[in-house]
Amino acid sequence: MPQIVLSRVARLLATLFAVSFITFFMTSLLPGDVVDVILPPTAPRDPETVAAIRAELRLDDPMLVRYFGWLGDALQGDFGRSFVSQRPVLDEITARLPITIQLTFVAILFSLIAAVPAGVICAYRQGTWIDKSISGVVQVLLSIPAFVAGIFLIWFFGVKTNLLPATGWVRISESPWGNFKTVLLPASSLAFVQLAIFARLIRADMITTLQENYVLSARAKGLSDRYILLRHALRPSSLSLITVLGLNIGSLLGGTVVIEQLFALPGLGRRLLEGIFNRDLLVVQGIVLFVASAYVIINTLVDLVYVVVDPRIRRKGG
Amino acid sequence: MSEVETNTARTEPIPPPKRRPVWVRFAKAFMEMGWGVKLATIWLILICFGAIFADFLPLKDPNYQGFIYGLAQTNENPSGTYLFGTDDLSRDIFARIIYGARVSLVVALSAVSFGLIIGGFFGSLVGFVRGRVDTVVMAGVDVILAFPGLVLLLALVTFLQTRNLLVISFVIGLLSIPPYTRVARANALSISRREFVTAAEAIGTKRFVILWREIIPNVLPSLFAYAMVAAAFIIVLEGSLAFLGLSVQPPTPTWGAMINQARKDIRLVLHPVLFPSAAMVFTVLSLNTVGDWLRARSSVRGSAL
Amino acid sequence: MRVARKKTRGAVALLAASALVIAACGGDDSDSGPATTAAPQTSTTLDQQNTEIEENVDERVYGGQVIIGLEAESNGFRPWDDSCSTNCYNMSAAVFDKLLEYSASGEYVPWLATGYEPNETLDEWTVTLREGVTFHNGKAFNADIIVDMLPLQREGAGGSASITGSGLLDIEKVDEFTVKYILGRGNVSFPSFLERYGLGMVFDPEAAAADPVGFDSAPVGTGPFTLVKRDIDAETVLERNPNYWGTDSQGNQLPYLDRLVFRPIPDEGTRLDSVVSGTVDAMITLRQGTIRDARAASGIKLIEFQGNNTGGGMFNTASPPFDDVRVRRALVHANNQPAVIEALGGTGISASATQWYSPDSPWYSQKVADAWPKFDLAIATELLTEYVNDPARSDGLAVGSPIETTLSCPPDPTLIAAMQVVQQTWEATGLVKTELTSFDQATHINMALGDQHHAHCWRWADEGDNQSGLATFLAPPELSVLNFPNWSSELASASFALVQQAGSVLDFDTRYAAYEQIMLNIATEVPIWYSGHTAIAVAVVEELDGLVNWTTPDSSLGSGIRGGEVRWIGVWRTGS
Repeated sequence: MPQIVLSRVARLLATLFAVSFITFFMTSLLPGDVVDVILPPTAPRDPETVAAIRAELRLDDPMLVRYFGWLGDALQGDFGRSFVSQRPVLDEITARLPITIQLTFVAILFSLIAAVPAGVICAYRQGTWIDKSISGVVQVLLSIPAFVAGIFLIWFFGVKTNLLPATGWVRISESPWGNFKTVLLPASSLAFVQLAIFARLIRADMITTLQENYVLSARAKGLSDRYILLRHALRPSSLSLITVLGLNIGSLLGGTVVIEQLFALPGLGRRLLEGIFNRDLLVVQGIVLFVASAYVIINTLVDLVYVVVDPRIRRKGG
Repeated sequence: MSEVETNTARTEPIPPPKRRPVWVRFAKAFMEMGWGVKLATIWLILICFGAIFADFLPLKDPNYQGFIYGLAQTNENPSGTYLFGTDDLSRDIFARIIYGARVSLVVALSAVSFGLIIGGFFGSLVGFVRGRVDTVVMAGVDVILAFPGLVLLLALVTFLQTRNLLVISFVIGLLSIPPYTRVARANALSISRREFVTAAEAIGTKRFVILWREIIPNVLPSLFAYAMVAAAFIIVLEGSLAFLGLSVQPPTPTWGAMINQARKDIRLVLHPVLFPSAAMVFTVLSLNTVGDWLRARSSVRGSAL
Repeated sequence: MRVARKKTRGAVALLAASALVIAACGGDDSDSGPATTAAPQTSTTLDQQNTEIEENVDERVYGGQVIIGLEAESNGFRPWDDSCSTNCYNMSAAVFDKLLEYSASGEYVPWLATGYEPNETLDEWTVTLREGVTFHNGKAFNADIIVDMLPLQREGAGGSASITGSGLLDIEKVDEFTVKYILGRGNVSFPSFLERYGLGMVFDPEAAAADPVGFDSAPVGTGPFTLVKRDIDAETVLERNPNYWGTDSQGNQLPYLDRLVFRPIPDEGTRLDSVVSGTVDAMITLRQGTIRDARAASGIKLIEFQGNNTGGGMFNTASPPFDDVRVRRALVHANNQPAVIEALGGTGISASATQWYSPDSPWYSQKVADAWPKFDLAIATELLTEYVNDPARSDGLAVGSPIETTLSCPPDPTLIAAMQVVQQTWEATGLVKTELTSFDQATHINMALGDQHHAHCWRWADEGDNQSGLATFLAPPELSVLNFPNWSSELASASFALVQQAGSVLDFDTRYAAYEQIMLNIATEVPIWYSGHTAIAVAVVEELDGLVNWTTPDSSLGSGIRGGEVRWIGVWRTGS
């Protein structure tokens, strides 16, 4: 097993390396002089300023030297600074990150809370009207883009009934209840599609496991349905659930960009958009690198969990 | 990314297609559908028809703003004149939805073609020949898939600056190649272990011929099923981009941009948001439904992409 | 794209003058793209319509806190470097004192200075400073401070913009509390620079030089409040400076409030709702749609302000077919300004614009309003027909074929809507093909600087007499990058001569005549177009008083909430 872990980690490092390479060279797609692009239009462009920036970005060095210099800095947590706010990019990321993490986490929580019972019931009552109607609803939820769900949630709860704040963010340190109220709608918007994916997965998985020998024998032993469902059938499903969860973090993170914009949440996704709209090159670069790395690392961890938990994979040797 | 592919193939050998006219085969397949799938198919046909023939249909000009000359009202409710009402610039929402389908369809088609042709080919190839080529190609695929789709798309679109339908379709098309490659590879991998392939190899058939005759035709059905679901995903992706104001330039109607434009008045009126949203949801739902049906028919479980 | 860059890069430094570009559109993201004018100027009367607020002048109350919802986090407390928007002035004017203040009657009156005096040629301004004032860190304020601030101001973006815009060359210390500003040219509007961020706000130069970046979270000024917490994007908390030097007109110690809390609440609806529900006590908006909703809300006080600043756009007159005045006049005739205002959500809130002055400005001219091309499709079509059938048409296209234009606005939903209206009004002539593009704010401005624009959304004018803004706008394109439309013609040269004259006299009538003629020239050759004056409003809970009727140290009535800038020093809270 150690060599599996080692090989996974080696592959992780290789992927991270490639990801950083792509992120870095994406900026060379920009037409024109980089200094012109990144300096705010109002900033003075005297030779010293320009030279300072060229030196800061190592623009006069060959590409590869530039890249490794940048990578070295990035590894030490130095992603450069925003040319608009003048703050270090890492500070910008860490200031916004908690909101995005909370949003993603709550969205996953909401979707699991709804998806597990829905999937289990559908599998247990496979083919009945309960299964059919729940599956139908799930299919519709799967097809509602997060921003569309968000708009209608805003309309219903924020405008029509005025039950919840339409937009905005209250920090958990300020008021936990206020925080919960502000996270409710955006997290729900993100949760719908995930919920549908998870519910379908659980249903399909459980239909398969319910036909396995050990479940049948457990039934023969006269164990209660609830016990069988939870102890024997749900547990194997949770593995594939974790995998899909890891993979879906990517689309969730993409979703937070749109949802944070819609609900005016000061998270990482919104910062990315602000960076894009202000042409704040290093902020965009830093956030893209950060998000992609996080995604890769999360999925490697998921893989490792899998290796540790599931003996069959351990034997197969990845 | 993850090694745990759910594409464990259970493919039955597909019988050689009988040479019957396309419409007959289609009609036969249509009759076999459940009513939900039938509805979805009809919706998709209607949307495609509308988008292609929009210029010849008795529609209002999707960009005409009568309020400038006092000839129309902004944000007017649905009526006989304006089936879905008017938007914030007094344009006919119904016509804009039909024309807006064009952008969604072009982008989806571009993604599907790039994905099927390039991704499908390379995926089948490396899944069949395996070895070092496989490792290299899949490593590349893994790296691209390491970026959350929308985030990478946003960054690319920003850095490219120009945003017309051609550029948007091209970028989304390119980004579609890796997931198709992965799906095609997974299927090719399992198909290449089947008897009819080993048999062909045993009698000394050229490898290229095997790839062309045996592997690709058997990968295609599940790839088509994936294409439907992926097209749904692409439509949402383009919608998100348009929603952020980063897709095709106005006044070209797109569903995402219509939703974005209308949401500023949501305190006053709902219908300018409602109708384009419904169009998008129905289309995505239909694609998902038809995709599921195709997948069940080709009886290969899709990957977890 | 169309015209090669002809302007020197060095001149772009001057461009920093458009710090206000960002101020007006960047962080604030108000309705109509960037503004152009460089600096705020001398007099105008205050226009606070719908100000049906009776302030209880006798019942001043001490204590309490006020939470203010801003539309964006403000780039804050570095007066020599940052560009300052409405949000920024709300925060920074509480921490720093300005040398001069703007009065209700439109004059620049002493604040931290005690007086100012120009020489004959208006190129030397002697300013006397207030004695006995100390910074938050206990350091004394004197002439050395002003002199020491200059090196930082020269280097910073905001400061260098003001230095270029005002023509400032150097500052001399005359005695302990007197300084002399030496300009490179006569500038009647120099006092206006002592009232704005770049040159007017007094900070501790020693602390700033020691840690220029950290100064943002530990600013040292002489102002009525000190900063106690700066949590970017969450909240900025200021507390009363107990040692503040100022008193109100009755001799009461200022300020009245104990705490100010500024919170960025980007969403317009939420910000307004927050005031209505009392979660925050005040909010500022530059959006017509929000003002529309605020008028309908109950339980709040709404103070509206409509200034000179106007949305609109410009033609790059160096780029065919806009080099032909017939085309420009035709497109302005085709444009239905009320429809554009409706698309912006401003019907009944924003007035149509015909010049750089709102009808309430003393510089407003009815003659100009009458001269501005009116919406008339027939005239527009006629002019365009003449152009496209002209064998010598400047764009080189085939006779009879429509002109081709590109119209670009920043990607804000209201601007995108307005842009589509303009496109349709032009294309309605049947002789125009317009392609719409939109780029992020920074690129949008860069395109205009680099002459890569064709027809371009832009903002015009600000709350003063626009002397400096006009001077840079009218300067020949080869001298000023801020002549965004590249307007150069006999009338343009004549206008530039007029604005230079106006800059060197103090007499109102002479200056009025000059500005009126300039505006008439603009109306004749239309290098730019308008889409309504900008409406600004401050909504507060009913307990707040003192927003409108605050006074300056010499007991002049202040300028209220001009430009959405609330002077929190004069605000108090009843019933708290």
